[in-house]
Amino acid sequence: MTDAKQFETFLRNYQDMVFSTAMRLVANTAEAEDISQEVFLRAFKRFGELAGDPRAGGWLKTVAINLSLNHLTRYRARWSFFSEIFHRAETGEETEIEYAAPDNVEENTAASERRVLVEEALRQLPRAQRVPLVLYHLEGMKYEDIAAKLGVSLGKVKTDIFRARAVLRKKLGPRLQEEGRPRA
Amino acid sequence: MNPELEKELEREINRALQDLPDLAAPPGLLARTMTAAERPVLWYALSWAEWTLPMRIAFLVFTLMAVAALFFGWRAVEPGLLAAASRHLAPMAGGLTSVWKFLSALAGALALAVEHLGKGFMLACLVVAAGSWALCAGLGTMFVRFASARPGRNL
Repeated sequence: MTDAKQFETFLRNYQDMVFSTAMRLVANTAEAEDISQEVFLRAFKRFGELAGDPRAGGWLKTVAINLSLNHLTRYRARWSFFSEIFHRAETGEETEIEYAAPDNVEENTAASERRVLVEEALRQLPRAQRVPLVLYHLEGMKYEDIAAKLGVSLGKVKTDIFRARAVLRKKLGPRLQEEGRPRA
Repeated sequence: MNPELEKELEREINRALQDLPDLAAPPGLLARTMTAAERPVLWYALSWAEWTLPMRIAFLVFTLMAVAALFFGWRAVEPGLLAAASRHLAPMAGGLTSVWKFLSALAGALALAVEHLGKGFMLACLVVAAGSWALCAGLGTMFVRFASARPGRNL
């Protein structure tokens, strides 16, 4: 297999993971796509080391998180001056949520509906709450690490995550409790 | 909030988020990335870290030579050559002097105008200038976003 073919397979295997990581942080499809492309272009440059390395997924995730956070702090701050008024990023965009592995037909539709609702609620969170929440719950980072990464105080991180959870609970209400129940 | 309830909320949210599967990457991502990856990168677009070792050495040698020429090269220049060069540059310097005189006169006129127009007028001018700058920056940002927007991208 040529390098290009190998890289294409590599890209195919990891694209959903990288895109999801970026998407849940920046909450914008086009921006997440740009970030994912950049992540893979960096991977392409070091494909010699990454190909066949079991840690490649972790490396891609870390780069995706870093690029997304860079994007949020630099790009947004630069371009959001006036046009942010018209930008709906803070409230999330209205695109259809599509999962990489669609739910099994056997699995009840309630679960997939619930996931879509969770995803939408996540996107609608303000950036200051969404980013630490995603880093904590989805990326498994500690409060201290999140504070260091975002350059904010530990107290702010805890407060933002707490508020984000409260908002999610308010939006999702009883569906959250359904989550805990064993599936039929 | 009760710490127990807080813990319970954390567990609930954790369950809900952990249950989310990966989102499907946009269908165009693969083709787009492959095209970009296979496009040859020109040497000037590469970062220093990506340059080959011979290129880095050559660049360092060239830079050192350029710096040396800048600092010590004048010693090698013949005195007659310097005089000839200054004769050639003199008309240009004359041109610069006229520009400087013109700018000084303009600044003097401006200072005189400020003196006679009063603070209120100047403040109003400043407000108008700041407003115009904000308007230009806002419109500029909007147009750049509009021009660089791709289908599906929020403006």
